[in-house]
Amino acid sequence: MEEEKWIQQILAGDVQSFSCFVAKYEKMAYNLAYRILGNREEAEEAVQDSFLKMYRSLAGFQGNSKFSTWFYRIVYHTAISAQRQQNYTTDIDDVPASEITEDETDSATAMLENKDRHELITKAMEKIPSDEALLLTLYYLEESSIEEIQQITGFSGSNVKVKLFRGRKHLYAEIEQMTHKAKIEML
Amino acid sequence: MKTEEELDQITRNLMKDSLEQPSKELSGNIMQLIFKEKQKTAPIHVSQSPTALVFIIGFCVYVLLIIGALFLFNQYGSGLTTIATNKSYVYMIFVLASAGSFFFFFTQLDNWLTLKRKHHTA
Repeated sequence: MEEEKWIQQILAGDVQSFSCFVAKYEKMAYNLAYRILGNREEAEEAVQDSFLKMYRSLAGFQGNSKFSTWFYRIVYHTAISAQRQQNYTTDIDDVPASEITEDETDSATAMLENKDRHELITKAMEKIPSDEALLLTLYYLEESSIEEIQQITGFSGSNVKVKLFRGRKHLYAEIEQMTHKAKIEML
Repeated sequence: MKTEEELDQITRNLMKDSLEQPSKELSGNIMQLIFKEKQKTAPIHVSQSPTALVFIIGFCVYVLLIIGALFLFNQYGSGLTTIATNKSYVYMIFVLASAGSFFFFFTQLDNWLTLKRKHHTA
């Protein structure tokens, strides 16, 4: 595991080796923090704090879990603390988490061919509850397993599955709503 | 209806487009923080410098060495025959030995205190 080598080098006093961790984990850490905080500046601040916490506790990393899982747990807790401080409230319409409909699947598939899909999907992600957005990011982007997500967030296995299911449903519903709006605008 | 695997694949592709990019300064800012932290927690070298016990042992060794050297010089040296007849010669040896050793002692103590002060202000 390359992380073990970096840890040894850092603990031996080679701080420059820390840049390897930054290069590897900065982007995903930022995305996780951004999903929770919904604000670029605060997400970057949380990421900086997380890396600092990681540096301070490197000697305590036992290797009981994957390094990424251990670090994302730090990011998650740092971002959650920051969220509590900002007294964040969501104003999301509660979409019932039923099965994904045919229309929603078609809209999502069509979205993949849309030129402006990055902007649209970003908007859709911002509209769904932050914990669901976070789990979708971990599961589909970082490809973390349910067990790893449990370790990162502290949620139970069934809770993770339910939130993933609801998150995916909410994302598809948002995309469908956006596509529907765009069609109306075109008419 | 799409299967669970197909839905997972569509979602995975959608999620790839949701990836946000942090600012270019972020990695630099993180490394700056880490370097600052490293400076804060750098080991204080005072602990590796001689301790008070080493000074005292050094002082005693110097006293003995100087006493020994002066006695030897008195026995085999040619120009000290007049001094050797002096009764206060033994006292003089002790005074010279103490002076030399105290010089060593205070020089080392001064170096140690300067080093300690430097690390406290850093």
